[in-house]
Amino acid sequence: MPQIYAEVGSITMATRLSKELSAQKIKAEVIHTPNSTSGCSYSVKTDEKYKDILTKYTARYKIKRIIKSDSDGFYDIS
Amino acid sequence: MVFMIYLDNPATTKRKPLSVVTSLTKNTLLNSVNAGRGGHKYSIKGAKIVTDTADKLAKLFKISAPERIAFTQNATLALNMAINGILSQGGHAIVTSMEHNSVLRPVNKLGNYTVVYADNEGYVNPEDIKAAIKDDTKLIVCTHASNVSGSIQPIAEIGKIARANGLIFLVDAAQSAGTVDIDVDAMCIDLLAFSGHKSLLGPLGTGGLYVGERARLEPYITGGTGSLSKSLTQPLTLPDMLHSGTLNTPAIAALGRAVDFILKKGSSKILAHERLLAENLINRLDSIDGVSVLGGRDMNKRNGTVAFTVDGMPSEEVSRILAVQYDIATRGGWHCAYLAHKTLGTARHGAVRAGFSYYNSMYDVRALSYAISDIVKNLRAVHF
Ligand SMILES: Cc1ncc(COP(=O)(O)O)c(C=O)c1O
Repeated sequence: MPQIYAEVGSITMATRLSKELSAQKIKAEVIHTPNSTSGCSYSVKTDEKYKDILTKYTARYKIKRIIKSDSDGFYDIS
Repeated sequence: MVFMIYLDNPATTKRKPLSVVTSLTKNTLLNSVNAGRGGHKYSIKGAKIVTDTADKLAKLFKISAPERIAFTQNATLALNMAINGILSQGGHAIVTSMEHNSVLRPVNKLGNYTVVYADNEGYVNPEDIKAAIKDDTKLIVCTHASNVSGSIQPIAEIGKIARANGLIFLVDAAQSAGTVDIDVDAMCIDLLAFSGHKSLLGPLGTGGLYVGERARLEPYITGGTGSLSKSLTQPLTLPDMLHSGTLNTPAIAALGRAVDFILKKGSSKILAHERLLAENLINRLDSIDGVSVLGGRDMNKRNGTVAFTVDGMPSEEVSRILAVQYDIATRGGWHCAYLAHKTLGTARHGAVRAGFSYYNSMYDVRALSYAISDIVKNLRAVHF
């Protein structure tokens, strides 16, 4: 299953978002965003099937963009 | 090790819950990590420790957005961040005469402020604060509990006045966090500065600042946050905006354990215990000729801090004798709060302060009151 990354501004937001997802039994991992355009940010990595759920949290956790990672690389899919 | 009765708790609580000590030791050993710097598991774990402690504090202070809590090394830094952050573009501040120098010196440095005097028991009248509002007033600062007299201010009423007048309300909870109830929404508190190492029973080097939605702060200290590294300006998201530089992750973890302890015991029960000791001490001291206890006698409006004077002896000398001859740690002098002493009538000689914590007992009260009786007796013997 392809992975997606919800990029947020701070590690705090990433930690909180991952806690929120974990509480719903969704496997989520906080990572240092690969190729961050802003220079150092954090993302929450999860399965692509949870994209809609992630999108619901855009405002609450100030999600900047959603990035998809597959064998071709990373792309913005937000 | 010399056994000493420790009553300098308003400076810092020396004894901490065992869970705090073990957490600090364990996390120093295992998690001396830089939270939110890089993507390795220690960085991520450090950040989780920080957010977990923020969650616990949010529960204690009834804060609905825990990400709006930033950690600092003490209340002084939090107060400086708040005062300078709100008044960076100018504006007038209202403070009370019961403030600590960690409020008075920052506002005095900025220059545009009014001091509202409390009554001679150390209580501020909210109407006096209202009357001090000027056209350019931006900020009201009030200490929740005095570090001298232990008087608890009518924070909710002052908060209402601030809200009704569109002003930012900063509360200094250095002496109340962990014992006196705090509800930031119900009390209309926009900024809450607290020490972690006093009545919250956490380790030294901890404190924090809650920044409510209405408070638009300019960052006071800028630097590395582990985020937005390409930008030369400070990120404005909280808590990053206020988290420049490496956080004290082990101490923040231990502070979390301290908050667990308080939530489990119940802050109101801890306060009731401290008040009981304070009331008993006040009654005993009131019965000694030549000893005057500062502040009112309504225990519902005081915390566990008791300050007093001994006629004919400077407060530092009383405190020194208590330490040297009786092994009792108190604090004499002006307690970094000269205006509070002026308000309470002790500007000339200061006062001796004894403050109780969860770990004190009636034994300590008796020891202090006997020692004071002794000191007064000896003083009379010298004089007559
Ligand atoms: C009322 C009050 N405010 C602020 C402070 C400063 O606290 P800290 O030592 O955590 O900087 C103190 C310390 O005694 C205090 O009593």
